[in-house]
Amino acid sequence: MKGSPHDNEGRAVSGTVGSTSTGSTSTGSTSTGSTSTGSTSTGAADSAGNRYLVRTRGLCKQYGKDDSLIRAVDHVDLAVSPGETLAVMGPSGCGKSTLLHLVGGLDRPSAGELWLAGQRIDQMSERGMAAIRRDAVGFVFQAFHLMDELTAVENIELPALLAGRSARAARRRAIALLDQVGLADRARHLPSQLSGGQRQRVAIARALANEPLIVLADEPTGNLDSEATLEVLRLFEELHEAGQTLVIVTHDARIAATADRLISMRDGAFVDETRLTGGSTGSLGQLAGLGG
Amino acid sequence: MTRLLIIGRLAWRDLRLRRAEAALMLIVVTAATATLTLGLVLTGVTASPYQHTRAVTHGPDVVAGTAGAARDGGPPAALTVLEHAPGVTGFSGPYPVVGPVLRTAGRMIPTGFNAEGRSMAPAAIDQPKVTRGTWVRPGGIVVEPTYAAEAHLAVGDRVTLDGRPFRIAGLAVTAAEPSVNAPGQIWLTEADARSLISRSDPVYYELNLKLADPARATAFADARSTGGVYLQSWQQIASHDARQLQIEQAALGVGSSLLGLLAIASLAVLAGGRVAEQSRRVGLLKAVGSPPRLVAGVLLAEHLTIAVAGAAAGLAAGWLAAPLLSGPADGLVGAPGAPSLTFATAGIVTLAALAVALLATLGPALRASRTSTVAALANAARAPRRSRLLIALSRRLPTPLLLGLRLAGRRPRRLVFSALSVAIVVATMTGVLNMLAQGRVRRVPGGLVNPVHTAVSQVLLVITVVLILLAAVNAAFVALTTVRDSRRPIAVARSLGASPDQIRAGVTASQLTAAVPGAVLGLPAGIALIAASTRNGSSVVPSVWGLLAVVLLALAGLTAISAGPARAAARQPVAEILQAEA
Repeated sequence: MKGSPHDNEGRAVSGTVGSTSTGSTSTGSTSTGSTSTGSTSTGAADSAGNRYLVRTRGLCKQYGKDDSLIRAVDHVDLAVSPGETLAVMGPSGCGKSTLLHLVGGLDRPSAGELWLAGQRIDQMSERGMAAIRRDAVGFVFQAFHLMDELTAVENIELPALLAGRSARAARRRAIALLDQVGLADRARHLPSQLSGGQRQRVAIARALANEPLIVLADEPTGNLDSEATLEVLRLFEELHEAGQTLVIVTHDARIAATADRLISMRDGAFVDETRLTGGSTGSLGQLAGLGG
Repeated sequence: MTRLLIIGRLAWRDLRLRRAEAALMLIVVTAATATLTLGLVLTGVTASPYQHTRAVTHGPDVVAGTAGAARDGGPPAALTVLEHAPGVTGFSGPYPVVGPVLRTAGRMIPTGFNAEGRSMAPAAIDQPKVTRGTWVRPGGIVVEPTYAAEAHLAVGDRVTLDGRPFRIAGLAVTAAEPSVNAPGQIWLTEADARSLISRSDPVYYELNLKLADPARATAFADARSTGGVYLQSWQQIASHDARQLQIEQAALGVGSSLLGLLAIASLAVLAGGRVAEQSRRVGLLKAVGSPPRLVAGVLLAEHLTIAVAGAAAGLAAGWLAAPLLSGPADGLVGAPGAPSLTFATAGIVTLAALAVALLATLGPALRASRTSTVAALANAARAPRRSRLLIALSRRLPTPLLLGLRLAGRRPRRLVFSALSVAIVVATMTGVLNMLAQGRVRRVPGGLVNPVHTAVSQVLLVITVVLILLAAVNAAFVALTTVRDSRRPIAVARSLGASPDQIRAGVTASQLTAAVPGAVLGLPAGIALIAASTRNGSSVVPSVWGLLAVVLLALAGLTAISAGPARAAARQPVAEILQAEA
């Protein structure tokens, strides 16, 4: 997709959760509790000096109180290295999306620490969070969340315009991204004139508009049919190969199978971690079970 | 019957559930119908106070006056000959009239007036009705109330006439002179009047005549107004009096039209907003088997109920306010207003309110009835409109303006109604500026203001206040609806990096996107309205600075009103909205 900004070599092989799991096979897993930290350092780096793009310690998100207290995210420790693709799976309501929103600065944690791109963001001002979202994060949503009244190219250039780039530069970048997601001929189509897969590809292109450090995808294939799912899978694989850091929340095992690492969640906590050797090096079609 | 019961029950429950919106709609309809009622009520009362005064004061059918006295100082023969003219059945006078200089507490009242010498005993024809104090006595003068009010004179005040001291003994009204007239009218004893005659203040005379056929008074007056004798019929005096209320009616007519337009715009926005918010409810109704007609029926029933309630409140308010808007009728006996609220007036006002509500609601109600059940249940927002021009233009603008133009462009109908609302307010405020400018021009240094001008200014002030209040309600609701309607795009913009400050400024900019062209259009519209309502060419175009101040004031007001909704938009929970609308 774009030039690899992150070197996969030398990065941490895992997050703080299940840090003992190193280079295991695709079936290897280490059951971990949410209290496992595996690190005594502070900030975005661990005691071994590994720097992470995302790091959380004791991250919590709670709603309600007393008897009606809901722990959507319950003392989660997480570390995501630059260039890594992390899949988060779990049943509906287990807190996957909430975790993603916290990591992307869309929501504020109730407790815990959260670093993104070397900055602690859990106590950051709203303005600072906005700047982080604008410059360091790209979101991909299940429902696409494209602006209905904007064409594909106008949707893609929007983050760049919000970031203050010139209209010409934003448009140039948007056209290039449209070309890369294979929709150059759909530039002037409205979202209502695109298929689900095409909409999601536009959403992915939009997420990349400001060359983010990390792309956070929330059920990116949840609304798509098999063919469209394959299109999106291919796109994520290309991103992964290009060194883009990805965190994908999904129900779909085929998507999860393309990741470097898979974390399972239940009741707001991490319950399992699996290091996969498939990832970008595996055959996508085979992994996805879609042929080709 | 069952269906009507269901419609009634659902409509009533929804009104109770959304009380704030129902109250806003009620205010809008009440304000518009109150002004319409005022206009209609004042239409039928132009003559009645004068006729009442004429009856109470034994008013003359014709008033005859001369420009000067006879050589011996007495009334000229050209006047006295009228006492026995064919058709004349009675007369009073001739009374000597002088025009002395009046001073009070060292202040000169520059507006001229007639000081008429009268007997202390009541006259058979034209006996002014004392409304305060007593009738004339030696050293005691009586002043016509309109003139007294304008000159700030009260019973008991000490004044001088050509340097001679007098005390104001009372106030009285007459049907022999228009109540709104310059010069003003003063009565004093005949001896006092004659004592003021001098070379510099010559005397002239007035004679009141009673005719066998009062209906032919104008023809009588016209036929004999020659040779230095001027005659005025009671119909001509009544017409002069009615002019006051006619001007008020014209101001009210323009105001009612503007308020009507604003009411339609406000109700259209309110009804559209309510329907948009009831999407899920519409879906539920359809899902349990309600036909589209029932869905439309519920919405129509709600808004028509509000229209009827608003019309009733507006009728009552207009009826009560009518007498307050007839200030110069101080010069007459009897108040206009209350007696003329007829069934016809009530019917017109109610029908107008229903028509406005129907016009504003029909479109959204039909749209809601046609919405697919699945889409309505999913609470899917109405697809926004694509404004290519605004989108292209906004690409080159700073983030707040980019967001503002795009938010505004999503709902062009709302944009037009908002612009219309601001244009109406600016046009009205331009009219007020015009009135102020006229006041300045017509007021001679230290002099009196024409009471007609004062009364029209008061009417215009009432209309302006109501219009501004209505426009403020409208602006607040439009801003709120914009924020509610744009929850998802605002949340998406936040997820793409727009800061809360940018969102806040963007929402405000979206409101100004409609307001700026509205304000600019409102200025020429206001000037055109002034020109149309003052056919005698007495209009004065306000200064450029004044017009600029009006525009800036309107925009500042709108910005202030939008501040609350804009702040709410910036604070809305992004993740929650994106999850809910997934």
